[in-house]
Amino acid sequence: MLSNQQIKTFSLSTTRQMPKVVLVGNPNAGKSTLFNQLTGLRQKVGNFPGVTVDKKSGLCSLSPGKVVEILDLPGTYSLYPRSPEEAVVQSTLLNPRHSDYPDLVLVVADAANLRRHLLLFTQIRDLGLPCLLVLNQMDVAQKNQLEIDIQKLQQLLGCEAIGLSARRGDNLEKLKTLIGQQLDGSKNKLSLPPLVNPVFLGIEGLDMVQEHFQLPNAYQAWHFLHNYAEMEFLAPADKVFLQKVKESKPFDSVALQSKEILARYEIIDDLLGAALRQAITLARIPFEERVDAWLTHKIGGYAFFVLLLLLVFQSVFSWAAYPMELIDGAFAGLGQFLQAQLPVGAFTDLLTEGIVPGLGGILIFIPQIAILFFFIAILEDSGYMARVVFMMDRVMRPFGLHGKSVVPLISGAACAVPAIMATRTIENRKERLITLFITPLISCSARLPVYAILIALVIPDDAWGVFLVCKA
Amino acid sequence: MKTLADLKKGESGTIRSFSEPGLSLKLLEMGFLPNSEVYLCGKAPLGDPLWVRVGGYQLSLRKAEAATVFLEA
Repeated sequence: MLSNQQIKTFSLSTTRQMPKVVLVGNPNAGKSTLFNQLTGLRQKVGNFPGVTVDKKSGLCSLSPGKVVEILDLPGTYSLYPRSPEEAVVQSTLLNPRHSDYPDLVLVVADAANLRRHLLLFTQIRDLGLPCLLVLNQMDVAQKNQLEIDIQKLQQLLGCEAIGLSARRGDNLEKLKTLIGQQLDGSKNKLSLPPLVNPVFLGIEGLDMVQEHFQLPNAYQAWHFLHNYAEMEFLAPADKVFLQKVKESKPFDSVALQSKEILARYEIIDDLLGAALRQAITLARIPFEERVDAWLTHKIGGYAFFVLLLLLVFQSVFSWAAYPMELIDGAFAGLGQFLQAQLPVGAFTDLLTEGIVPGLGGILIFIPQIAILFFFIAILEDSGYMARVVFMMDRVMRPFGLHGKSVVPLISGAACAVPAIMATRTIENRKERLITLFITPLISCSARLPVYAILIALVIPDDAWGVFLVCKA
Repeated sequence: MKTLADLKKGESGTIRSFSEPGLSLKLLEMGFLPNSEVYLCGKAPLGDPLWVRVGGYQLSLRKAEAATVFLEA
């Protein structure tokens, strides 16, 4: 458990003496689930310096008296950044003076999609950072009849690896032990030869860059040369130096990067050939594809979607009625009770007619919001939302939106704040901004009674202009 | 030249090259490697985006993006 002192140092963010462990991985690798499992509720959300990217960090006690700080970096497919979120990953891992420079990198990979997820791992391994491969979603891999020889994988990669399922929470203690061992042993570890040696990819000047910045290996120099323009931690003079090196030789960044990716996939395929076996070919996929074909059918797909939304909203309103009645009753009772007990006066009025009904008027919407979010979570986790995104993309595009805009727009009906936060999954900046600005236009359920009150206040009971207003 | 966007449902092709350098890196990272086979599982109701299987997993991409992937004739 944590002592008060440890919590204090954490909140003062003078945590430099505490070892830092960062989580890196592709989107959907299950990083956040693992992060929640490791840190429990001891988390804080801040910002990365200079960018508006959420930084989630928390404490994890590995063993009694041994606490590390865990940091959840944004999901990325590779070390080459394509969004502000992804740039954070690169600048954290390549700048030893960064306040979040890790003592250990946990690379989280989806065991059921190992090939693609290993690409990022091999890149981080080649940077020469102490790292640990976490094969997540082992339960799914097992269900898909994938046999992963972790021993063999460790041997070929030269790094420790562990298989677990963050969702089920198994093997977490073993992971904590392994993190502790890695942190103890990382100082005197020999640096591994790179899996892909950038020197052989036809690039020149790496040695100059490596020497100038005192970098531990050529692959770090490679990233400096490719991305110096976006590396805000470099001094202007250093950028000029890198530009000169780059311009002194023919340098085609895209061609070099694709060479690197291809070389990595070649190695990954060799690796998986030795360490991965699929026991039987899947007879299940055709069934899933049939379901998918039905869910995204040109008429049936939309009809099902509309029906599902109707069902969700109908049950939200009918189910929420009971707890709402309870809350309403409780606050009315509280108001009456206070009025009876307290002497007549301005303070009593403030309490019984202002604060108590005011609080009640807010809390009454919690059941609706909670139930709607429960349904949205089911739709997302079952993978149905991904099908909706696929179906709706073409429909949303004329409005400058992305298929993924559907998710925030629907959850905006529950509450706009988390809905706006959900827009971050949209990669294209313009589409993300448009979604962000129109999401508040979806009325969240808490706003409906406000409209009702406004209408009652502003519009007279009987005929008003050409409109005939009916009021219950 | 034949592109991924020209495939019909149930057809497959072999990836040859890419026409847009920036996007090609992203596609390479996602497993669209030259000489690997790509299979069109289906299309969204309005014919766009496409649903493909490549390198053992499925993903979807817009038709305009698919048109930058050249296939073997």
